[in-house]
Amino acid sequence: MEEKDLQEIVEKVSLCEKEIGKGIIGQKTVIREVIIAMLTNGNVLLEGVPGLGKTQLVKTIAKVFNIAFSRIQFTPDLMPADVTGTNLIIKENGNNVFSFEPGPIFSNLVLADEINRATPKTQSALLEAMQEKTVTVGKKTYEMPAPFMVLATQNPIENEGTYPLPEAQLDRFMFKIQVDFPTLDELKQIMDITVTNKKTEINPIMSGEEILRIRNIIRDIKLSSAVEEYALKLVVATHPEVPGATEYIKKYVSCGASPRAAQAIFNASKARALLEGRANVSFDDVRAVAYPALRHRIAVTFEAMADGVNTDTIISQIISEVTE
Amino acid sequence: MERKQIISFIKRIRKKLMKRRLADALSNGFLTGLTGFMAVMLLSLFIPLGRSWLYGAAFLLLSILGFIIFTLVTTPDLKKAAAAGDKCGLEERLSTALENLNEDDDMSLIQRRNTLRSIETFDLSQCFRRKTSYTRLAILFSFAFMTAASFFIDTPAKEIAATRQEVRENIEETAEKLKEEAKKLADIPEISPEEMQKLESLYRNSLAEMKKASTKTDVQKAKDRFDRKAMNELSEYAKQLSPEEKSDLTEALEDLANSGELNDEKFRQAAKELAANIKASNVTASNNAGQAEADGNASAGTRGQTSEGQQSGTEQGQGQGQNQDQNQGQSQDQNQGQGQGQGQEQGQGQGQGQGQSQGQGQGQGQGQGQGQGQGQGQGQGGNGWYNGTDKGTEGTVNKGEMITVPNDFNNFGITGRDNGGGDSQLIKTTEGLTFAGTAADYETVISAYTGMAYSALNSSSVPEAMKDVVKNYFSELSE
Repeated sequence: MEEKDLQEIVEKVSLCEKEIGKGIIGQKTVIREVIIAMLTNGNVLLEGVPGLGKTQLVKTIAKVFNIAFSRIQFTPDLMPADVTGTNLIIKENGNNVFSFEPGPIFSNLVLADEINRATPKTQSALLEAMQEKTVTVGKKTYEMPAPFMVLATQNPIENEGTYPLPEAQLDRFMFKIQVDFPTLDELKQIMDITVTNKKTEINPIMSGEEILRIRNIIRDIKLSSAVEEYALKLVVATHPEVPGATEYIKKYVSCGASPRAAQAIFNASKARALLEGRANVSFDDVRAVAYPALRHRIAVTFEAMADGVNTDTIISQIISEVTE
Repeated sequence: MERKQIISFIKRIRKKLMKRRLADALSNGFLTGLTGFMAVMLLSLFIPLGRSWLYGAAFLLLSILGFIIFTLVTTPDLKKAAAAGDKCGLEERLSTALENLNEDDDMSLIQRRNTLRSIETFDLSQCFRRKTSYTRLAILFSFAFMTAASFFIDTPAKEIAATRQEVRENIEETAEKLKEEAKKLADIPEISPEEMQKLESLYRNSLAEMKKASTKTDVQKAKDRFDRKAMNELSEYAKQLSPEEKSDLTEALEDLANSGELNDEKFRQAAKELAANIKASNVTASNNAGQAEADGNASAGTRGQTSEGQQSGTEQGQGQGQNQDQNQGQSQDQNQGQGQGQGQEQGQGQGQGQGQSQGQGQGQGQGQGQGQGQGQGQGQGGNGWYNGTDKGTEGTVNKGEMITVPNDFNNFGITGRDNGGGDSQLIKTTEGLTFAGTAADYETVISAYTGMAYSALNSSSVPEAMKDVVKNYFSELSE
């Protein structure tokens, strides 16, 4: 591998971002974070009010990266088998035999739309696939196609009739990305492409194989001991029970981030460094990925809720307190 | 290749870093020191602080030195230098490259090359350029101005401090002289160890007294007291010596006076005089026998004790005299007598007493020396503790000696001081102390009282105004 290969990746990803930008106006950070998660074998939970283009984003990404895409609309009556697939009795050579019919999860990119509307049982059906990249039906375990990624969306305001994701499942998402309302200019552009006959053609830029190759390269990106220590200190600082925890954390955090958070920060910061054209991780990389990697892994206290302190505020506080 | 270049670059960073740290240390040290300097100078306007500028300057200097030493001690290693370079925009390239310097995998190689390419276009001087902090400069100038201004503002506290400083310097100077004198005296081999101990104790007392002094006059008084006491002590001591020893002591004292090593002219003069007195008394003692005839008549005591007085001159003459002496509340005697005598008297002494004396006499003579009045004139003397000279030229009678006598003193055999050629007399009194007291000379008693009084003055319960009254009282007593 040469340095020019890295440069090639950077350019390609940049092209991908540009192409995605044709279908998704604004949301550059969201796009970058989704790509980072994709390149580091992570799953993403997108959170935003309805109509911000979450589903559109996922569709566009699938198109640009030229990978198989499936969408599961989560509803309260959705069953786990509807997700994973099921064994059907079929006739084979005159005999009735069980044959596995794969569910929509067997795809490269799975959009779990409004994931919090399904029952915990159905939500759990995703667990194995997200973490182990396998699905077990009956006595058989099926491997997921590579690359595999779950992009789930959830609406933060409509809580009635929803089932908040359990901590175990939340932890399996590498990132939780906030999709914010677009700016005035972005909104104008959205109108331009959605309410007119203007067609925007989105071209595939990358392939699944390339994604897998980049994933391998990212693993080799260098992380200095100082940066490593800094990332770990950030994770440890989210825990109110550790010695030396600040009063702020003790007051507002009930449960800190798991080791998966550290893994997510390490991997994501490496990917970010690569996308910035570096073969090493910087402190800025760590800080940048700390928000999406930690925000769903920190459980806040009632006091935090009462005081209007959210996880992003807590992460900002931690970043300001932890020294490099 | 990349490795060397990276290391060399990091070393360059370290050099720049050190320069900047030193400049920072100088600046911080100066600012901290100046703050301290200013604080001391401002305090000195309200609180009497001697040599405040010196302490302030020392603080400034120490502060700068401290900062510089700390900077030199904490010289950054390559890792820290790399981290410092990374902070200038190299985004941890240097730190990572330094850690993976010996790795040979593809990514390490790419990382090093990437680092090298970054540092080729990196402006190191821009990174370590010091920005002028105008706020800091403004603070610096205002502090410097305030410090300088405080030099020229006169306040009562400053005046007090200056006076104290003068006294302190005076104490140091005088104490040095005192030490020198004590040392010179200690070098005289003719002085016995016991006597040396006394002189040493005298020196220590005087030094302690001097250190408590609050004015230059007090310092000088303490010094004078030492001179006088030392000479008296030596004078007393000389009396116990044999003529040869006296002669040696005289020579030693003359050497001391003439050596020029002593800075204090007064002391040299006193030593010279003492030497002369001892010499003279030595001569007198040898001529003393048969030089005087005494014929006296005294109502009660026949012949009084010869006083410890200071007389100079050769006495020769005839006279008639009448003395009326009154001892201190104990008895009153009237003496009348006639006498004729010839002799030489030289002496020096101290005493205190009350008395009345009348006398007539004629005398002529010359002489010098020191000693107890050994020469005898003729006359009548009372038996009080004050004794006047009733014959011959009247000498300077200063102070007598108080002797505490118990009611029944036969067993104690106190007869007063042996006056050489004179007689002593025992007087039994029914009044006075009823226990066996001890004899103590005036100087010792007064010195002890003075010491106690001075100690008591340190107590805050004594009003400031009264302290001076007490000090003056004891100063006058000891003069």
